Amino acid sequence: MNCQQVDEHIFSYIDSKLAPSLSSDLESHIAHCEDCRAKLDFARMETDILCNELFMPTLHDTFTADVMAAVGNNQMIGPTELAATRNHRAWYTRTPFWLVATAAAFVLLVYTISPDFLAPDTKIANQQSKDLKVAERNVASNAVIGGETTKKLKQDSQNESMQDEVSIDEPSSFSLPAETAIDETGNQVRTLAGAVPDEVNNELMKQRQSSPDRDRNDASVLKAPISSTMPKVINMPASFEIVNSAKQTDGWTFTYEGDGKQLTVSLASANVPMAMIVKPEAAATDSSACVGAACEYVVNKKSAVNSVNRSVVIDNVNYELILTGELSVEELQALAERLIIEK
Amino acid sequence: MISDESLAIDTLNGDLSAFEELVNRYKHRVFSIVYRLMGQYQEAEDVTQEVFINVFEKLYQFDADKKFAPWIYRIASNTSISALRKKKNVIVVDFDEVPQVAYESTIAGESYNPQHLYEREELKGLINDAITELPESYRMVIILRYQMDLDNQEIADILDISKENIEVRVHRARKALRQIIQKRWEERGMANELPASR
Repeated sequence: MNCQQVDEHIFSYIDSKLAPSLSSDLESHIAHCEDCRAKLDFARMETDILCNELFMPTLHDTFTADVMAAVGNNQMIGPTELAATRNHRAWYTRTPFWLVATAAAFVLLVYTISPDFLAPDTKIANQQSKDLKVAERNVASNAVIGGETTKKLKQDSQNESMQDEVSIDEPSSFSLPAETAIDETGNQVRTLAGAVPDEVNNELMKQRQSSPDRDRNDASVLKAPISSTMPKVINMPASFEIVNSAKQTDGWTFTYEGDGKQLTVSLASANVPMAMIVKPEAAATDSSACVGAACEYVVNKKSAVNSVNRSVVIDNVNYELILTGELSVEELQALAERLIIEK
Repeated sequence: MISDESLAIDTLNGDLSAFEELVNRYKHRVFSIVYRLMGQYQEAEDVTQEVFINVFEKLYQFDADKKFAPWIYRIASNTSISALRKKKNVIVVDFDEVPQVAYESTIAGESYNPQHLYEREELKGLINDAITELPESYRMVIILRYQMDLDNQEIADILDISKENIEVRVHRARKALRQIIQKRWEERGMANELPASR
């Protein structure tokens, strides 16, 4: 062994991780090389400091009490309740992995080819609605005497059809259903963080029309600093702007901010049990209990319609959507029902 | 003594005192990881608390057939890195804001000459500073190997890399640390040449 090789193996030797034959060679070299002996002594001193003498402040005495108080005061559904869900194993943990992976890959493939495949009812309903409106227009135009008026109504009818075409291909991003967006007095009410008024939606539609990335049906994607290797969260409300995206050890995390609140969308490969809302139990009935605190909603893969859209299979690992943020459980749930994860 | 894994199961069965015992057993070790990664006392303490809340919430995911320590270290690592990315600024260790628990030197009784002693103290300061300048992945592997005294398999599980790559990463981390130390040593104009630079 020469001096250069000693340099290559010196740390493994000190840490007792070097193969015995190499250790013997190194010791033989050191026996007659003063420089390498000095290097070894120095590396040992470094290691000793790293192991035993690094500066380390101590935690405050109240740390444990603080943690226990935080655990108790947050009224979280703790591990006790969650453990109860453990025995209730999800279908995907009882089904052979290859079958789940194949099925998921097939669904994703089909969905990639034809997004309408997973929502045929929506397409049919939209088509029926469109046909009905056209029929109504035609009836109305037949009742009007005068060429100009008939012509105008026909134009309106065509415009309506074009708008319907747009809404089929690019479902409206995030306006709430009318009954939840308008109160009894006719004023618009905010029942979902991120719900946006019509004028914002209209502006968003204009942006999409003029955007080179118009195939995306979401403004946040246009701004998102997401790398091409990451899955993409689409259909995020326009009032939420993506501020960070990061690859984690077990998935991806996207941070959004909007309306004075922060929201984290995570895709995690952790073995998440089905059917649970983690975080204040009270919040299930009282949304105010969750506002201002961190809330978490783990999407239940099994219960929701088209829930497959909110999970993504990458390299045979099934990632699940987890939403956390300063939103109520209801808000998170409403959001979760709208989000689509795309890879 | 009740094992960590048994305490985790007891916690899952509703025994909060078992979780309290886990906090007491791991708070200093978790804080060591978090503090080295975060670099600032108050932030490190906040993140350490967040780690234990995460542990409590995710305890149902813990596989009691495996060791508890690597699992909690992994959560500590992920939580710290996530906090760092949110912070996105330069890490500066502010020693003034830290409770005055100074270095616990182990060399007091050893018979080093004054020059050697002085250089060792200098080196200790340099290493403390240099660690904060290392990239996250190097810092983490140094902490787990030398401060947590974990074996390669445990480190591999925490960092989610292969066991075979651990030695390579440790070696690179040590070399990177050495380069920083060497640079600082020369900047301070120390009388003796660093033995490693010969």
